[in-house]
Order: sequence, then C-alpha cells, then structure tokens
Amino acid sequence: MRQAQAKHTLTIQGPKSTLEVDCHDGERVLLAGLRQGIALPYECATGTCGECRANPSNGEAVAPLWPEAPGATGCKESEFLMCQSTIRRNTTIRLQREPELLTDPASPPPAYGSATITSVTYESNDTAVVWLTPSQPFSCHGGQFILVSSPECDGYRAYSLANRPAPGDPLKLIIRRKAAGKFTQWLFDEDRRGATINYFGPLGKAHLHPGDDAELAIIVGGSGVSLAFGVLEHAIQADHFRTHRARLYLGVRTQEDALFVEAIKHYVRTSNGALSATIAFSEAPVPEALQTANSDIHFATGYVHEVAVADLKALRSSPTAFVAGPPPMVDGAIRALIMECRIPPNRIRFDRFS
Amino acid sequence: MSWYSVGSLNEFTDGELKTVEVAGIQVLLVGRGEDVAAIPPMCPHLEEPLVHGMCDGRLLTCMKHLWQWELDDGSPVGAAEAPLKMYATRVVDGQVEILVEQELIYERES
Repeated sequence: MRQAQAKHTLTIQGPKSTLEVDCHDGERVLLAGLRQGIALPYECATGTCGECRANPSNGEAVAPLWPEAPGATGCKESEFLMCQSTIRRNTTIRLQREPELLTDPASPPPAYGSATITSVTYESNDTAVVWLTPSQPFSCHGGQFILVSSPECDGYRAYSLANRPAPGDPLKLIIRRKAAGKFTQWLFDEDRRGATINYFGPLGKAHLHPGDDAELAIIVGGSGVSLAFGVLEHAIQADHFRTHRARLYLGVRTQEDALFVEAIKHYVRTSNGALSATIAFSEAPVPEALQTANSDIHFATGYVHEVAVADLKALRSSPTAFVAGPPPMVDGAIRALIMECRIPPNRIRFDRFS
Repeated sequence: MSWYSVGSLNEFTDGELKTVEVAGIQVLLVGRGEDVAAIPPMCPHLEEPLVHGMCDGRLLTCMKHLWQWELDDGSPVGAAEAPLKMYATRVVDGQVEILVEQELIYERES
C-alpha cells in the first residue's frame, strides 16, 4: 500500500467458504482482495461494467467512492461495487460465487506501484504513446491492463499495456485525450515527462496464456490496438509465430484515424510472414495510394468484425480470438465469432472498453 | 395446470429470442425449430438479460460471460456452471403454449 494507514478486516463470504484479507483505510475493496491473491470478480475495475457487485453484511460499513458510477445503476439497494467502494470498519461481504485464490504461479497477484513518465510521443492531436518507468519490477501477460492515477486526479483509469514488459522494462501505454477526462487533460495540457503516476496491476483475463497452442485472431477497434500490440509482443517473445499464424484486424473510421501503420508493418515483418494485418475503415473508402504505399497491410472498407469474420469463416480449426474496443464493436464481433465462425466461447477473450 | 398460449408457432424463427409476460411473469421464449423453449429471462449466473444473448436454435449463449446451454433440456455447456430452468411447452394446433404454475427463480444471494 502507498502509505501506512489503519486497516480493517474484510471477510469475503461465498456460498460455502470464507476468506479474510486486510483493507486499508480508503482502499478500494476490489483492489484489496486482488492484491492479496483473491480472485474477486471484475471486468473493467473502473466502475462502468457492474461486474464486481457484492453484498455487505452491514451496508453502513461501506463507503462509496463514486456513487454515480455507471456500473452501480444495475445494483440492488443492498449491493455495492467493490471497485468503487471502501470500508470504514471490519466488514463481511457476500459473493454469489466461492472466493478463490489466485494460484497460477505464472500470474502473480496485481500490486500497487508508482512509475515515472519518461516519454510522451504524439501520434496525433489527441493520441499519445506514453512510456513509464516503474519504480518496482513489473511484468504481465500480453493483453493485460493497469489502472493509472495521477496525484492531481481522483480515481483510476484503465489502460491496456501496448507492450509486454518483463521486470525492468518500461511500460508502454497508448492514451487518447477525452474531452471530459481529467486524467488525460492533466497528461496532455503540459509536458509531464518526469511526473510520477500511481498504478495497480496487472489486471485482465484477455491475454495470451503461456500454454496457448493455436492460431491467433485479434479483432480490435479504437484504443483496443493496445491490447493487440501486447498480445503480439507476447507472441513474438513466446516464439508463437514459429508454429502458428496470427491475423490482426484493426477497425478505424477513416484514414486519419489509422495510426500505428508503421508499428503494424513492423509486427508483420517480425513474424516472418506468420502475421497478416488488415485495417478496416468503417466510414470511408480505402485510397488506392494508401494500399500501394503499404503493401504489407491489407486495407478494407466495412466494420472490422464483418471484415474479420468473412475471413475467419474459412478457417478449418478454431483460432484463439482476442476482441477489444468499444462495447458495440466487441459484442458484434463476439456474436459473429460464435454464430458465424462457430468458435467456442472458451476460445474467445475480450475486453469491453466502456 | 395452467397452459397459456403465446402465439402461433410460425411466428417464431429458429433461434429467435422474445420476452413475453404470462400471468404476470416474465418469460423468455426461444425458437428451436419445431417448437419453442420457455425459460426465465435472466441468466442464472449474474442476472444478465438473456434476450441480449444469441441462439442458433440449439445452443443459447449469454453475452455477459458467454455461458452456454443446450436448448432442449437447459443443460450447461462449457464454462457454464448452472443449468437453465425451463417451463414446459407444447404446440397445439399450431399454437405455442407454455405451462406456468409459478415463477421459476434461480437461487441467489440478494
């Protein structure tokens, strides 16, 4: 934890079993459980999805940090969001499922850390690649995300890692300015190189697993490109392309949104022909000159999931699919992968960026 | 025994999901070829409305966590950990009828 604080006992009760962890004053219940190795349910960890609902034995002991969180709209009166609440005293919470321990030695529990912003490179007026140097060793699987906060802004924002750092490596984030986003305003309005931010992670299940042994199909839109890069970096490190192909489909609206073309070409070349990449424009035709100038990449017109599925339907065996981006895109892709490509759900890993 | 008519069989296409209210109870109807399945409208997992899911006439999939069930008997498939509860249905003279005696509810903490 960031500083010495009073702590309370959080008792996590499932239908049959019970576990106890510490929760510091002001600490989010979800993060308290996760850092101590409890596999609590969550998806976004930032208050929008509602996945981490729980019931407290005593509602007065729970203090909401963001009562208006979108994910709280689906909560019953007795429920609260673990990612947006702390506890004031020793408290028992009840879950619908048994609380389980994070036991995979290849995936240690997430932890708090701080990092220094070492580089900010603008890819456009509102999109930057940000490099962070963590003050503690950090590692993750390709495709995982971290929660980030700055000293001047309340709360956390979630960002997928756009690389797959090993301990000692810097972390790469792709951050898009949001009009009403305090964190991105803080980041973009001044030169923040040298500033310190806090993070919690790694988080997320939409990542490459050490034992993955299948072709990869990566369908991403918007800032989901970070997850794609994380998975590709991991695949390269794991020598996945020696035995398996991969297909990347990136959806953007127009050519102006098609950032990272050079980075994608780099991955295509690094894969020695195992990776094919398609960029789909949903709102504009593909200029012939663009395709000619970038022959390593295929450009298409249409929604990215439709472009991807038309391709993936021809595969004889199910790939491991990764889907990330805005919820409508993610849901459209999942629906098509299951209904049209007949890919079983256990082969689909996804992140909805609400 | 209370059988309720919910429409003509030819109004249901294979895999179509449709929520109706029968005797004050919300029921999700799912076309499955020669008849219709009738189930509670929420996922037995975490109360996601199953009408937002997808079905090919044989397998029903919830969009939230991609749990799946066989539509003929509600048995779980793959990662799904709980079966679907199902109302009895029949087709009489081309009309779909469902048997609703009491609301089927999944046991959950509340």
